[in-house]
Amino acid sequence: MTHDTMRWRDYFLREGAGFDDFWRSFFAEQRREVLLVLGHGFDARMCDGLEKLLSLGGEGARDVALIAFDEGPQSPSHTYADQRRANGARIKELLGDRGKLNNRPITMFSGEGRRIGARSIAQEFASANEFQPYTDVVIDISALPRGLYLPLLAKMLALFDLDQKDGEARNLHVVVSHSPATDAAIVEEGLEDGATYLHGFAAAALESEATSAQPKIWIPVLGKCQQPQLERIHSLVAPDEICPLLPSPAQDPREGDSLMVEYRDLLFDQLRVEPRNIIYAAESNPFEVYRQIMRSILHYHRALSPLGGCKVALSAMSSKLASIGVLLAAYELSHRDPKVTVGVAHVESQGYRVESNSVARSTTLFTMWLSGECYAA
Amino acid sequence: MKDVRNPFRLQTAESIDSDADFLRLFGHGVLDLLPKDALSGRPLFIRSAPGGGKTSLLKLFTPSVLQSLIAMRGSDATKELYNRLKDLGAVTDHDINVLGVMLSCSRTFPALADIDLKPQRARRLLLALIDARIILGALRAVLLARRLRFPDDLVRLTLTAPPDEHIPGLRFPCDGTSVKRWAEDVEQGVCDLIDTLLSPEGSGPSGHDSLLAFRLLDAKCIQLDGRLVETPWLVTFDDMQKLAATQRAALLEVVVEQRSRSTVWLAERFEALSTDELLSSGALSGRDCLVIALEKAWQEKRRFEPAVLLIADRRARMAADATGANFALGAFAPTIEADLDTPAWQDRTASALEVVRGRVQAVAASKPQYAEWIQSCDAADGTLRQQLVRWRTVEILIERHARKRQLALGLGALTREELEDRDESDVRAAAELFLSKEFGFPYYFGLSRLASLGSFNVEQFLRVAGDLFEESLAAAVMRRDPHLSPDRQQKILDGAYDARVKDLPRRAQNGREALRFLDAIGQFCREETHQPNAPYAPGVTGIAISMQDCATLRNADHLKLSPDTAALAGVLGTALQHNLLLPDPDRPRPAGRFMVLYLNRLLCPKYQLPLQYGGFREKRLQDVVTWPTHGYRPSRSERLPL
Repeated sequence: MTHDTMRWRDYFLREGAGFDDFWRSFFAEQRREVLLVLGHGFDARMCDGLEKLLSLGGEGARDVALIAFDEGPQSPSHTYADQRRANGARIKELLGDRGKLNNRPITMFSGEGRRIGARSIAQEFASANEFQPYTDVVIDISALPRGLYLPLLAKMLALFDLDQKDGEARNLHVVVSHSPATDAAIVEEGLEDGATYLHGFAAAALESEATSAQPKIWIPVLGKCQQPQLERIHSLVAPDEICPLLPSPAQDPREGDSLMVEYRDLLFDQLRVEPRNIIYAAESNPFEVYRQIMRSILHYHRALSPLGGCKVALSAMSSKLASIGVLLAAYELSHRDPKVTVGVAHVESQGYRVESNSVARSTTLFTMWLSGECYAA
Repeated sequence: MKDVRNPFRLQTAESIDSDADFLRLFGHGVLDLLPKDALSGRPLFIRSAPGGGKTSLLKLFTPSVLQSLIAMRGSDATKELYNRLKDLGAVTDHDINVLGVMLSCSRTFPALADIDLKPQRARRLLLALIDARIILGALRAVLLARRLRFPDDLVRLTLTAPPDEHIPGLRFPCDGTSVKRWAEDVEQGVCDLIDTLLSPEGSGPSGHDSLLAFRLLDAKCIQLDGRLVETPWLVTFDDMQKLAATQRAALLEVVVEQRSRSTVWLAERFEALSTDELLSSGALSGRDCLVIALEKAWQEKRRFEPAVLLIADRRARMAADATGANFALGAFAPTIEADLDTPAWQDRTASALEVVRGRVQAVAASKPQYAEWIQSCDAADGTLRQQLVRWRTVEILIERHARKRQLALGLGALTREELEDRDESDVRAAAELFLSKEFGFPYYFGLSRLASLGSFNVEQFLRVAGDLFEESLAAAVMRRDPHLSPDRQQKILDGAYDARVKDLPRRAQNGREALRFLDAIGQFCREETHQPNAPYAPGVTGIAISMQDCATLRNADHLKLSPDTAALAGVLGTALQHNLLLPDPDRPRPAGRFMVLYLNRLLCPKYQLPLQYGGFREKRLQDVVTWPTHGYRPSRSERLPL
């Protein structure tokens, strides 16, 4: 596979005013039946996408599937229960009689207390049948944890790809209300003891004894304050090569340097990362992250194919935008021929704590069109 | 191997590239903890906190590592290790004498438990996956042990049918390649079932009723070039705690029921509030098995300090090798200064001595019964530091005597002999601690205390020793003296708390509450320790909860009715999982049997506590149940002046 044959080589991404222009014209073009899937969290950004989409006119249904997830009785997120309730009320108020609101609770823990959120959310949307009434499905990941939206999107892509084989061309969009300052202020708390491979990508296949001799490559997309996660994922993956991905260009031009300073001891003294393995990708362009990851993986795969190939673990530890790049690369490589075994390693957390309430609410809406009309041959 | 600037940072077996480096860095002291018949066929449980060295120990017995060891047996770095393994029967003069197959239970097995399968099917698939992995490991082990190549030489292996056994999908006799393909297919089938985004029910392999791999290994059905492979097998399961409860029960049941002739080692994290269920559940009743709790074994055999200091020296040597012959730090111990009797401390010691001596003499002036004790102190030889400690010890003893006298109304003069009797090492240790608090002398320095700060955990020791070594490395690079003074050591070790414990809320479930609970224990211990008469010399470093209360903390029905107790159980679980409390269960006391929970020694500097074990206070659940939420509030009786 070459660069030319990457599925999302040509991509569709709009932000800010471009977001408004696109959706306004898209809705004006024809009647659109839209299902918006969004998480019910405490982050006020969860309402941004719906509010904006409803304000941009157009005909057709604007239904909402509201994903509710309970992070357990000890979750620090309960501190913000009032905000969460307010967000739920705001969604109802915004939606009014413009569409149906459907609550979709996700089982986060098994009877033994094991985390099964990723598997549950993939099962929640079991088949493409429930999307039959819609022309467009929009997944708003602004208030969804990574452990839910990555498997959800993988499942959606798989369902929509099957649909396309059957001649359907339903559109799949992802929107996110992006704010680096807010992201930095919301920190994960109560990390799980160990990392796991997310359901929806290669998980068991990565741990297979039969392929244990294949070299393992780990590409962590680095963000701030992720040292415990890095340590735990490293322990899970036990990689032979590590290729950290740094944001560059980034809003803060020294972001990459800051990350190197923060992780110097771990990356260079403990894990002995080769500086030449570092990958750079634009902070706010998930498709650029996707391309850089794809290039690196394909390079390793080609170089190591005489020895039986390689296995790859990706970890999204940065912004939600960058994590979409991880998703796309992992999904594409796992569904192509020849297949590359790519998993997404992740550490779940008990919940979130807002470190500073004084963060200015300066957000930018991004929309990514992942599947459907615009990619039709 | 890539260049290693600070080899102390290679804290896990997984982070070391080559078998040769693994062996060079391996401290053979842990082998002292194994029973002599560890390879005799009895199941062996190895338990410790994370970082206790379980995985390294299991890795040592894998064929490639043992082969490397035999090749390096003449080397100074590995000679002793080789001899120990020879004594255990793992190697002979020229050959491997045990075929090790190492399985990590954290890989794939937990995910299998998360699929919505019927229990019987889930069990069959679990056993099939274990079978497939053991057989793949066994094929590899046989070839590597004979210095053959895997998988190229699999055709030289022949497997015959085990008596009275049918292995679904496998036709005997067959060669190694066919068996490998069979095992890979079984594993692939289970893995596909786990990874599929579609409904798993009804797809995938049928699974196995029992562990067929053990029967195959026991029956000696494997031939290499037509000759039976008769080397005994060692199958090790690492990270057993990662299995779901049903999986663990199933595995233990088959390991026990089948009474395999192969030796099975099961390594798991010690969770004091749950692990004992494993033995009391009946799963192992009637079966002879061995259990080693690494922390307890280190403590009982008093082997931790020499073991970790050997590890430290090996790492320092590796750094010296990596940086070239000009580098001064060929060993770790010489860089760590352990003496406060140096000229740098003379002035401060002299002025402290003046203060303490003055205080004691003032008390004695009005109480003539202490006159002989004072004379004894005056006449004592020794360095300034020794004199200072002696005077402070006498001050504690006078305080003790004064309190007792108030009760006993004894007024007789005290003799020099009585002083000698009372001047025990515990009181001297308390005196040292009090001096450090009062006059700012460093207390946490020197090799012995550094080893103690490891809390019987090799990884923790490597972290703190690595912090010290980092400083020496930096000094050497800048052509400065790489030796670390006691106060510099203490400053670096003080920072270890911040690095490892302070961010517990982020790192761990219930971390915020656990941190508050640990802080409460720390404050409580400090109050108990720093009383003028040092009643629990050298100090209190833990609390004890009755085993009955521990049972309450495990009682699911009770926890449902009592959220506070449930929260405390969760917090204790977190503290134990993260090795922040060191449990010593089932300890007999006059009031019954107790579980002592010692603070991890890394917390001791924060609360100015000694590093010795043995000092603890009994607490009832109702005394501590509010500590995770409200922190420590001393009761009236505990509010004694410091």
